[in-house]
Order: sequence, then structure tokens, then C-alpha cells
Amino acid sequence: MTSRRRFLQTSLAMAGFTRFGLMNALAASTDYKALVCIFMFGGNDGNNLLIPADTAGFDNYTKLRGAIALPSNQILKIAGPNKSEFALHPSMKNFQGIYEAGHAAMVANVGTLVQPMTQAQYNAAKAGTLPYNLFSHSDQQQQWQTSAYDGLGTTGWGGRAIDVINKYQDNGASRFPGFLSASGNVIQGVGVQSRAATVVPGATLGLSGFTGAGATVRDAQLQKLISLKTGGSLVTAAGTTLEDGITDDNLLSTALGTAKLPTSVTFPATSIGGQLKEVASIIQTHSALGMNRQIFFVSLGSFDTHSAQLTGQGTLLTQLDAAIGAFFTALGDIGMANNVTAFTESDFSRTLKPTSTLGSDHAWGNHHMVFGGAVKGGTIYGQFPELALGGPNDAGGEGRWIPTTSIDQYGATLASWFGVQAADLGTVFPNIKNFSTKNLGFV
Amino acid sequence: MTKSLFLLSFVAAAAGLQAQGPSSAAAARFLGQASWGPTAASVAALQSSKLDPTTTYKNYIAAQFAIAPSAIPDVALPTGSTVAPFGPAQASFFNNAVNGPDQLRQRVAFALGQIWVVSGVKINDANQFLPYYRLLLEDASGNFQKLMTDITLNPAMGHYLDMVNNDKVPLNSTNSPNENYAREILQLFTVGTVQLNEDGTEKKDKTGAPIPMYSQDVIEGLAHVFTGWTYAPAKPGTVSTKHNPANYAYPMVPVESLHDTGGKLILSATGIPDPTTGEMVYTKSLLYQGSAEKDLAAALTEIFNNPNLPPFICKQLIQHLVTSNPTPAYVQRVVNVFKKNAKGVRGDIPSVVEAILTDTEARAGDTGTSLTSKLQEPVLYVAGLARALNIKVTDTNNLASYASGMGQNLFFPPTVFNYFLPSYQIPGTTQLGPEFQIYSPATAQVRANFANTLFYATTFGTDLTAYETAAAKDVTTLENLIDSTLLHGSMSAGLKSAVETTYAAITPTGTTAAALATAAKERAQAALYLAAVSPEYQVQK
Repeated sequence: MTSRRRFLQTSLAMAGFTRFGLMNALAASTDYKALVCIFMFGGNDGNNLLIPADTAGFDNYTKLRGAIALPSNQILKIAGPNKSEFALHPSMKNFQGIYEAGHAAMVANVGTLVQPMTQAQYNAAKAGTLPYNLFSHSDQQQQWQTSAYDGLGTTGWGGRAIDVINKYQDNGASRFPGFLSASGNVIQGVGVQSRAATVVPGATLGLSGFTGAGATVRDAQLQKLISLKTGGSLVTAAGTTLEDGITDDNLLSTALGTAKLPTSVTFPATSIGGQLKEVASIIQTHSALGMNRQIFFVSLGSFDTHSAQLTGQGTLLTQLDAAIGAFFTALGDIGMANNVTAFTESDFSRTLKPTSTLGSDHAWGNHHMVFGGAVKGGTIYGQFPELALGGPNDAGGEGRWIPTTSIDQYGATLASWFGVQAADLGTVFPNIKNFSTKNLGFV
Repeated sequence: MTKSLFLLSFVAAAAGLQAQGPSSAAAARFLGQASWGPTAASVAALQSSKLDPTTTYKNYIAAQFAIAPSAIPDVALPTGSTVAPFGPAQASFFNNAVNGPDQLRQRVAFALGQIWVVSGVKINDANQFLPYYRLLLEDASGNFQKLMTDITLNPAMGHYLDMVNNDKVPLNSTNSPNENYAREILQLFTVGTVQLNEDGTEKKDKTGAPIPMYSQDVIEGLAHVFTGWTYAPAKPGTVSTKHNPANYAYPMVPVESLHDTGGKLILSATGIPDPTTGEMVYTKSLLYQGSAEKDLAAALTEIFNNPNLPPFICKQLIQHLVTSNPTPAYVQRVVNVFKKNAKGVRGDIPSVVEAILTDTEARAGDTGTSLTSKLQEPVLYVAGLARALNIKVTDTNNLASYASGMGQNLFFPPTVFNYFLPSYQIPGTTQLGPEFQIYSPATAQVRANFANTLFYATTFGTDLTAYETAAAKDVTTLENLIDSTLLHGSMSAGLKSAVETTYAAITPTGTTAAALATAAKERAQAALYLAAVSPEYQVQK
């Protein structure tokens, strides 16, 4: 068994630069920046996303993962830092290409953490120092989005980052929300002051009307009615939500107009493909919307692979990888590759030890993907855990890695690139004060 | 006073003493909670009661649970396909919701199905899914413990949460029994993650933090309890193999050789105080009971009798039927009935539903200020409008596609956590609003556009004759008719003003009968649209 690897931040030469249309991207001289969160709901099994590929490491992986180990002739080899050997899940071919071109990185063993935590500290942990309800989907999804590990968060770090951006007036006088979800209401987009917009990919924007008598007055009276804010907080919230939707869609449909994405890219006809296509379209029209800083949220579900994981995760990652490939190419085509950084989130990773139904159970620290023209890619950040049941990284005996990088560090790195100044990081990530490294350097 | 006048007034006085059924407004409001929405006929039926409102409601509830479940038949396979599509099953659901006699049973089953979730996302053949839904409909009128056992052994649930073919593992094995069902039956279906008081509020430790209901050790122990079950043999009575092929028609069966016969840590009915903290710990070691079935029954009985279960379940049922923010006192009153109904039985679902629907907090709005409110979820919004407007719905309807556009794809909750969480808080408020989780700025407009289709398109063949007649008379007549159809007489001044302004702005283009009829129609359409889209209709009070 090798000792725990500690990775240093390294930057690799950016090879294969034109492969994804980045020459075009470099021509763009806009100040625009966007973050795109891709949430893998259900808990993506990071142990089969990023795999040790040196002989000893892979043998150990194969032995411990048993029937859910990926075969050596299918995994996609990538280089880690200091000539270390790793591999990606066989489905991640597009992502592998972006990684090799230097525009994508992996961040190892990230998770919910109030403060740095050793195994000894975990074993002795008292309530308050441990994230609330570890291993529970709903709680861990919420904590990834709120960065409030007591379970009491009512705002998201994306929304709070937009609050800060609005304070800087980076989006000028635009009335369009800085956070937009193509995946319904998410707490990540709820700010203290700001709110999130939503779009349903492919759906018609705005209210359906009619051309008969009274059309104008009917719609005006509806506007008046939903702005009354009477009848109690639920009635008020129902009205306000509709009012927000009408406002946002009016702005969005004007901005989008008849603009179309370049036809060189075909987005896959999947949910995640449709969502990322919508995001690319809105990024393309950011000037018309008056936006300089935007955060987007898209998602893909069903990663809760307690059984038949090889097929289940393979199908999902194939969908995700195809959508990532199309999205990154489209960003290059519209000259925005360097202006957009995408990153993944997920409830948690899964146990290294398989279940008797060819799957894995809920775990904790996870490996995540980051890509975009600004990413210092082609390497792995953070610390890769030692794959050993009951080993130094395990919170028990099933292979649930105690995170060695916190969400606050991961998010603060992204937020700093996005434009949140150091003095405001604590507003966005209240626990960042507990970590000495506040920027992981991957972007 | 003449003799005849005296007699008349005597009769009137006697009639005044005699109990009356509920007012039409009160009946309509009750039926918004106890059916898929009031109709003229269902309101009239309650009103025809000669008994006081509470007795009337209790009789309705008892009668409803006595009606057999509406059928949701198996779906015919399309030519050349081996997978039954969900469309026809969704259409059957909406046909039953709009037209079926067992209205309350369906509402309760739908609520229970949002707690004990199975989804078409994974069970992607409708005929594999439907036995689970039929169980919900049947067990809605039974005991919660029976529901627990039936759904646990239902093969769709078995596949959905991986209990089927979950084999025991030898000591020091390289794999572990699957924890999925063990975790979610506790977290979502029965007790939740934190200890509750009987009124549904969270217990706190000395530092003010919530107290966990169970530990990871209990999850792993329960995972061993749920080992050793496979699909029923293809033909009943034939011998099981270790892993039978998929069979969704019958409950799962035990395979003793694959069941763990060791002792297992489980959640217990009775707590023991932790010696250092004083907090209750609900854990016990379950010795092997002699068979997989007996182990399962013993573990489920402990869970059923755990004190967290009544408040955890009752609060959610209240949220699904009546209000998003019940007071602790309301939860406590319903919990009391869950623990012990009039016959001394724990977990009798009809008694719990009666307690929920006849509670003073639920009924306050019938005659005075409403203490309750909840956003209508899309399925209820669609079915309720179809019922109120007397839309002709058959078993080939397309209503599910509209609800899906609003964020609630019937039978396809995205995860076992349902479409929305009971704990979802409306941003910027301290109010719970579970249904608001799928009510986004985008889907709010989809709802409005459904109303637009309902009243302005020919899609549903909506018959607006009564509303046009009312509109032809005057705006007050139109307003009152819509108020009683959709808002149980609670239409706000703001909505009335919107209706009146719109009505006044739509003027006939001439004095011919055709011009007058056109104006009446357009006035009726606009008024109905405003009411159906209004926040006060979206949110039931």
C-alpha cells in the first residue's frame, strides 16, 4: 500500500490549444465571467470517476472494488501531478480531451467540512464540528449549496456571491438576476438580497396571450393582482414568484431575440444536453441582458447507484460527458471559453466497499471536475485518499473518505476567479476562515 | 298575532333549532382538502345533510373510505414493445381523480405515495409500477403497520431501493449488504433523522442542537435485517431459486439461505437514556427470530411503535391535505389519534385522516378567518380545475403532460425524496411551503398558460355557458359564480377589482345578439383566467 499521496498544485503546459476552438475564444476581450455548476444528484461515485492507474494502485483498487471495479482496458489514462498515473471513468472521453488540452482539472476528496478534520478528530468529534446528517442525500445536497454545515442554511453560496457582485455593481443596471437555474428552484441561488431566475429548457418563455378584446387589460390586471402582496405569506410568495417569472422572461426573450447558437455543435438530446445548450445560448446573449457576471446551475440525477452501478453510472456519465463536450466546443465557437468556468457538485461520494447488489452506499469526500479556458488544467488538485478500508482516510470501515479539501476552499477558489474580493469571501463562505489555504489555484 | 302566523313562526323556530348541513362555502372549502376539488354536485351532496357540519364531514369520510379503490388497469403493450408505457396509467389516474367516487381515498393514497416513494424513473414499465400504486389505494383505508409491511415487500419498492436480491454476506466479506432501503425507510418513510416531540417540533440537546434519531450503525444493522428476499416465483407455488427473475405481480419472498441469521442492531420502539448526556437512544440488538420473515416483522414492529413515527407521519399528512404550517397543537391532536383511536388502535389511517380534516384548525376557515394555507401542487391544480369546470375527462386524457410541465411528472418523482421536501422553506420567509420547491418563476407561468389553454383554446372543450350567462347579466353575478366555483366565497377585494376592471374594459362591439354574446364570452374567459391564475386560488386557504 502506498502512503497517502499529497498533491502539489502544478500547472501544465497547455497543449492542443486549438482543438476546442480556443483560438476563437482568445479573440474575445470581454470582461464577462460565468460559473456553471453541474450538480450530479444522488451522489456520484468518485471512486470510479478518478482511479489510481499505477500498477500497485490499480491492483489495490481492483481488489477492493471487486465486482464494481472498472476493467483496466477501458479506463482512460490521464497524468496526475509529479508524473503520477491516474485514469478517468471510460465514459469521460470528451472530458479527458479537455483535460489533456490543459483546460480541465480534477479536485480530489472535496466535501462538507466545518474545519480541517483528521481521522482522530472525526472519531472524537462532537456535534457542531461535524457536518449535520452526514450520508443523508437531502442534507448533504443542501450543505453543498449553502456551505452551512449545521443544516440551518437558508441561502446559497451562489446567491451570496451574486449579492457581493451586485454590491460591486458589476452587472450595472441590469434587472436580470445574476443566478440562473435550468434545473428548477435550488437553494444555491438564493441570496440574502438577490434571487434566482429559472428557465425550463426548450419551453416557451413568458405568458401565453390571446388576441381578443381585453387582452391588454387582462394582462395588466393580472400584473396588478400579483403585485398586491396581500393575503398572507404563502399567497404573497405565489404572486411574487409569478411576477418574477414574467419580469425575467420579458428580459430574456428580448435579449435572446432570434439569436441562435452556431450550428457547428449539436447538443445531445438529453436533459443535461438541453440545459447546457440553454446556458450557452444565454451566455452568448449576455451583452443584450446587460450581464457581466453570471452563475448558472444545471443538473443530472439518478447517481444513487446502490445496485447495478457499472451500467447505471456508465449511462449517466456518458450523457454528462457528451453534454460537456458539446458545451465546451460551443463556448469556443461563441468566443467565451476563457470566460466560463464549469465545475461539478454532488451529494457525496460512495463507499469504496461494494454492496452485495453490485453498487455502493452513501459516503462523503468526493472527486470533482473543473473545466474552462481559464482553468489551470491537466492535473489533479487536492489530496488523493489512500484507498484502504479502515485506512487513514476512512470514516469507518467501508471506504467513506473524510474530506481533505472543503467545499469552502473549492468554492472560494471559483468565487475568487469570478470576482469576489478577498475581503468578501467570508460573506460567501463563512467557514473559509477555518482553512489556511483559501485558494486552491486551479483557476 | 293570528293563529296561522303563530304556527308559521313556530315551524321556523323549530327548523332553526334543527341542525343544518354545512354552508355551500364551508362544504366547498372542506372538499378542497378532502377530494380532488369541489364540484357543484359534491358540494350539494354535503349540503343536503340534515346533520351538523362536523357529523356531516365525519360521515363523508367514513363513506369515502368504504368505497372500493377506482381501478388503474394494466397498460396494453404497444405492438412490438415489451415495455408498458406510463401514459395510459397517468391518464387512468387523472380520469379517476376527476371522475372517481373514491375521492378521499385517492387523495390519501397520493399523499402516502409522496412519503413512501417509488418512481418511474427507475421502475420504467408501468405494469411493474402499478401494483405498488394499487397497494397505496387499498392500504389508505387500513392500518399504517400493514402499509409498512406491504410496501416493504412490494417488488417495485424492492427494486427501487435495492432490497430485492440483497444477499447476506459472510464475515469479513469484500462487500456489504445494501443500505439503501434500511436508510430510507427510517429517514423518509417512518421516523426521520432527528428526534421529535409528539407535537412535531424537534427535540434539542443541551447545546440546542437536534438529537439524531439513529446512527450509521443502525443503518448497517437494518441492512442485514433486509437480506434474503427475492422476487416471487413466476408461478405461485413453484420452488424459489436464490434469485428469481423479476416478478412485479406478487410480494417478494424470503430465501432463508441468503438471510443473515446473526444478531442485528436495529431501531427500537423504546429508548434508553444515554448515561452521560441523558438523551434517549433508540437502539436494540435483534436476535435472530427464526426466519427472514420474522426478523422483518420484528424490526418493522419496533419502527412502527417508535415514538417518532406518529409526529413524523402525521405532520406530513396534514401538510399534504390541509396546511403547510400546522401549529404544534394541531399536530399533537392528530398524533393522539394516531397513537390510539376511539377503538384503542394505533396507526388507523382513516381515523388519522378524520382527525386531520375535522380539526378546529382545519375547519376555522369555514366560518371565520382561515388558519391554514398551502400551495396547490400541480396534479391537484390540474385535477381541481378540471372538476370545478366540469371538463370532460376520459381514460385517454392528456392532463399528466400539463402537470409535468408545471414540475410534477405524475409517477416520476425525481428521487425517493419526492418532488418536494416537507421541510422546504419559502426563501426570505420563515414559512414552510413544500410545494413551493417546484413552483419556480418559470413553472408559475406554465400554470398560468394552462389556465389560458383551459379558457381560450378548444383543447378541453370547456363549457363556459353558465359563466357567459352570468356575464351577460352583470359583473356581480359573474363574480359570485366564479367565487363559489373556485374560491369557496373567499374572493379578495383585489381579485374582484381585477375582474371588474377587465369586465368594464371589454365592451360589446354593437347591440346585436352576436356582439353581446361575444362580449359575454370574453368577459367570462378573462374573469375565469384571472381567478384561476390568482395567487389566492393557487394557495388554498
